[in-house]
Amino acid sequence: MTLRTVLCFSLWLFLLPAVVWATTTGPSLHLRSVQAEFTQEKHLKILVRPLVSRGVFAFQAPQSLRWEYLSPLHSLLLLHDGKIRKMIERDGRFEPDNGAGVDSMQIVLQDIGSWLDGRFTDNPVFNVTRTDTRTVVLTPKEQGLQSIISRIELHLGQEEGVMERVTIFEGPDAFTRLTFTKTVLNREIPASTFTGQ
Amino acid sequence: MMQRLLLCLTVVLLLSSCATAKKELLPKLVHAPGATKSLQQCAALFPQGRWQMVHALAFRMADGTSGNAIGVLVLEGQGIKSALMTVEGLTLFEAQSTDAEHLEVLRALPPFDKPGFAAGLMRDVRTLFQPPSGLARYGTLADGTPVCRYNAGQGVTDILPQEDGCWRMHTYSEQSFLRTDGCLPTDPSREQIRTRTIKAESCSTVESAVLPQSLELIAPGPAGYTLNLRLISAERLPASR
Repeated sequence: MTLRTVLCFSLWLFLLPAVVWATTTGPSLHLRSVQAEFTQEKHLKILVRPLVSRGVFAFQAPQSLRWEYLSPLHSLLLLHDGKIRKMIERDGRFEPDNGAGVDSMQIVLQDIGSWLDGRFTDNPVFNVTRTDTRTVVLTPKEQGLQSIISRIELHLGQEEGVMERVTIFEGPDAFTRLTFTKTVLNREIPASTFTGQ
Repeated sequence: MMQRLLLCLTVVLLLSSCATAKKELLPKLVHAPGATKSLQQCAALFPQGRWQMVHALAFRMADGTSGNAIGVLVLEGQGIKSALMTVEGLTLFEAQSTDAEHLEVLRALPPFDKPGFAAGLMRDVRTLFQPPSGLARYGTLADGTPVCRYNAGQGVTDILPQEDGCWRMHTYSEQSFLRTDGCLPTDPSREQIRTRTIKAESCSTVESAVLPQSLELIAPGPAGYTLNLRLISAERLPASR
């Protein structure tokens, strides 16, 4: 496995909520956009206290995403028209985060596009199971990916189209929990939200 | 004939580059009075007790490769636990070390699973956050700059306290241990060459610990790198039972 695989996979994690939102909504709700706030808790074996990050995200069909961490480190990922931009704030200004692998992330966009079209259960990366009406468990198909993420649990809200939380398990003592609040569905989002212009 | 000429030219260029490569040699130390108190002040520049710290980390390799990460650190006396994560929270590397001799890698995704990476990272973390080991002396450099010098056999560490409460650190190793630039040492027996330059800036005192808001570590040479750490959070932890 290469760094490229790891980084491509991390992009998939960004898109996960949008993908799931798009595919778990019922037939009465055609998903065009999602906006929400999130709180991210990172638990690690070595950590005495979890790391807490907060941010906002916006997704609009077919393939536009804004994923923004507001604290403790202000960073931004924009995905629009098949292009990805990653930026990080330093000294009050956003700087491009052109670390190795950002370009290669675009390779996975085609796959993600097909999942957003609703072919989620066909996706080549995860086995998908529903343990109950509100819980979806994703398990990586490939051994290599299992060394990065052992499983992902998605907890759907009671209201149709709303996801409450996503828990990404890296190992027995390591997981990341994203809790979503203030979800807004199907409100038109201007393109500038996804281009940063 | 032409090939031999090119070969000779290449060798000459390589040797001349070695000869002209800038080497920072260990400066002479002039002993100064008040050594005990000053050495205590130098040691106090590093956090004592148990701490959990989070840093925004930017690195740049000598070949131009660069990137950002989140660095997590738990200090417990001689024990260090450390993790590197993507800005989004994916754990790239996680390890713990009870002392300088013992290291347990809990997780290492490529390319952080390469031999030597874990030991090198934890060595840098120790250099940044723990007082140096070795025989300590206090003095000044030729220009009057105060220095706490720690001699640990094959390596020397100088801490240069600054007037603003922060510090600089220079580490040196005998040249016979430095082969990263491919040059042969001119005097492998004794020459001490600088291997790390560290600047701690914007220091503040939190619960009697000096905490730099910014740390810069420069490892020179063709295989060198620059590491910038910006403090995001620092939390003193209760003593472990």
